[in-house]
Amino acid sequence: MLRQTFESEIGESYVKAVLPNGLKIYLLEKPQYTSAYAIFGTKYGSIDTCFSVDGEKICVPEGIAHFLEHKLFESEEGDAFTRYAETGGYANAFTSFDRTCYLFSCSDRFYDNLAILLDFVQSPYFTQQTVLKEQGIIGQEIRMYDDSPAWRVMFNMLSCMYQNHPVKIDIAGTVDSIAQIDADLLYKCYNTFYHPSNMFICIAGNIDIDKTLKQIKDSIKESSPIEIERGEFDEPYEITESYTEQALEVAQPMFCFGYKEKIEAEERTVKERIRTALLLEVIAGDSSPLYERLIKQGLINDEFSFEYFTGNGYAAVIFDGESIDPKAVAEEIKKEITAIKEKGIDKKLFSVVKRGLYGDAVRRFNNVEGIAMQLVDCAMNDSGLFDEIKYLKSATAENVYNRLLLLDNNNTVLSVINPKEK
Amino acid sequence: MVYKTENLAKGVNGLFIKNDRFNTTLISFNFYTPLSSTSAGENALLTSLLSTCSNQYPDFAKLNYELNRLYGAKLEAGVEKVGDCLLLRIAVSVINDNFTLEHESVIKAASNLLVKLIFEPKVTGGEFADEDLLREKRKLTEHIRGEKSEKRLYAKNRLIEEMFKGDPYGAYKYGTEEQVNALFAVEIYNAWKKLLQTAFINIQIVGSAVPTGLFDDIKTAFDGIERGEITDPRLCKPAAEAETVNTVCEKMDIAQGKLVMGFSSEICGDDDTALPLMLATDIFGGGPYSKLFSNVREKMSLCYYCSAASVRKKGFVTVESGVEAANAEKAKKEILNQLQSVKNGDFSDFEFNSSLKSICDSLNTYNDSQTSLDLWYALKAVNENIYSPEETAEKISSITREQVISAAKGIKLHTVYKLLPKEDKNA
Repeated sequence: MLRQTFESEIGESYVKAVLPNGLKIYLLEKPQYTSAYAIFGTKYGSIDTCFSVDGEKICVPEGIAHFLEHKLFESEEGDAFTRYAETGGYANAFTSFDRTCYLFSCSDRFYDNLAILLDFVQSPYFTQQTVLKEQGIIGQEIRMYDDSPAWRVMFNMLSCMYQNHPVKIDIAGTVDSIAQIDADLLYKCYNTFYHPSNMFICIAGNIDIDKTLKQIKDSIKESSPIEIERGEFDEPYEITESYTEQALEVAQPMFCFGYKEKIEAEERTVKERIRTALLLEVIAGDSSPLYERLIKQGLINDEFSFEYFTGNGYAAVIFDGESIDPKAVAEEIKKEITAIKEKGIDKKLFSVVKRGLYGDAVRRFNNVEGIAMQLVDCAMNDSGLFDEIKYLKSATAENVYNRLLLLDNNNTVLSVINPKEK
Repeated sequence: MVYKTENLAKGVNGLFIKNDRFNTTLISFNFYTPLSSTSAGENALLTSLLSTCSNQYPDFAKLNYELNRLYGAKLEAGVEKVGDCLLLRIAVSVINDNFTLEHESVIKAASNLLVKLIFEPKVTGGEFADEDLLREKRKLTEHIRGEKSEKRLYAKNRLIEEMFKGDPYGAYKYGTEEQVNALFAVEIYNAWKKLLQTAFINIQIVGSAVPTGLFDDIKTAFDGIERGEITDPRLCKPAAEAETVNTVCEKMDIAQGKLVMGFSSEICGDDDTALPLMLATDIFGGGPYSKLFSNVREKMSLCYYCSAASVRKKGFVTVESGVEAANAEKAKKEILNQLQSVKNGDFSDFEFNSSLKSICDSLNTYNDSQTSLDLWYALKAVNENIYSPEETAEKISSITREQVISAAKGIKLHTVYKLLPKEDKNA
């Protein structure tokens, strides 16, 4: 087993270990804390809809990764929730575009909870009967998202932004797509993506690192690392539609305005992500001239936010919020980006937002859940937990400016949810 | 006792919740004022105004700039209903001085900034400035509208409104759009004066030390304020039992219906008396081991979420679920069946113990979250005796099956609120 310890100047340290079968383990000990937060995850999400099994390429129904997540909690003897009920641990799971994570949080009986997590994630049990039952529950989950304006405004934007990439598809799929799922397909996906070499375990909190490592090592099934052949996305640079709108039962318009970036490598590096985060603060953060202008003009409110949305084969800068005039907001953002391209980055503002993001990075070490989630990012991107602080400190207005050149005012999508007319 | 209290003025207390594990220090001002449908709007607007500018930082952009300069200090403000009070909260959290890049004193700076926001607002001639008032009115009314757009929240708010008609608790915490829009600058100024003169006030610090001079600064600030009759946050009129169950149904152009039910509870009040209600509600509709999750969701596949929660001080229980219109009646019947089974004592030792362990495990994680600890003590100010999360877990551990059954027997259906799709012919 490969094992390394990493330390930082802010007094935190963690251990990264890799088992011979390829499973990555990240552990951060917080002895002064009472609780611990553990995640067992796989690099498998809603975008993995096409892949190869024994040389044969197959495409599976949309939403199957999320469906599998629901079903993995069940075993022949009962469900994992019942076992957690015995220990008092809080258990949950989530599926996103590129990952599926099973987690628990507890303040007592950590090793018993860990044993449950390690066991059920490695013990698939799918039957036609249990698959049918789940279609009702997930069908209701999908209907709930159909009514969520925040969810719809985002996916409407993605479907105009991406021509082929499955990131444009709802994570839970549709009522029709999940109707095509059966036990056999679930096993195919499980056997492909739930292999230790594609998985990770990330834990932060009151744990003993050696004892935890030993328990994981003793519980993980032996196997040799495998190569997963994932589908290729073949996504062109251009968007398909620059504007989309939908009417829903909302009281005021909501918007999502995104810049599609050119993809040169599969994934953005941590350095690129940090620099983009700084850039976004300069463009539209709450200390920026644009933010001040938009608030004063009555165009945005406290719901306004932005993010760098990126994963395997996709990258976009997204601004979202509520506005009486989403088109005016999008125009103001475009104008600001053009102006900064011409004038360069305001150095004084840059140094202030850099302090702000540095403080946020320090703050994140307060919380075991936050740390465990950051460790998952490390496992997904093969990065280090302290890279963020390192790159924040070394960022300059000049190298952040280079990220600005990726924002193309002619490759944007504005998605709007309007109130229904009465 | 894990916290220390110091009296700073009449009805003004400083609470130091000592906890060394965080990289940050959190300071919150908590004002408790009587809840009423007429004053909620002005208090909500006042909270927004106090937290966006001050004499020191007359412009929100300058204030945000300073917060970023203080290593991204977070200023949070909001209002909550607690007991029969509206709680106004303004808090700042900042990284500890030893984490700054140049060993600067940011805690003291953030603490001063917060004190000035509260005691030296941007006021001229006894009024808040028009431009600030208009901006915050717009943001608050948009927020009120935004909450209407999220149907789960909207349905829950509508249930409370229907269930507490004629009771101040039925007021929406932000007031209505109309009320907010009708407010004048001078009224907000008067609300600020009144708040400082009559609210019960707790200033809470969660961190390794009380910022130097903070309590003295607050004492000095109150020297010039005449504290009159102070709100007693402990006073609360519990929910009354319904004579007949009120059912309200609204239709909207939506995909999924929402079924929300409100119940009165005979057991209510402080953590000295009402904790069995917490356990009964959890066995009924808490975690995955609960009656609602394992039957209404898992066995019957009727919904993705179906859960219960209790508000013990006010003495009521709510159940929320998202269902197809055609299944709404079926779900309602099953929810009531499951409640009946708790009342009948028809729950296993496994169910009882699972709930107990889950609640205690969760309470024992509070000390690992600065914001959870802050909110815990802010919400407990309405109680006669204040217990820490661990002390509460200990008290819960001694609750018996009989106490749970007795608490469940006092839970009675009061109001049913249904939000259903317009076009579903089966509704």
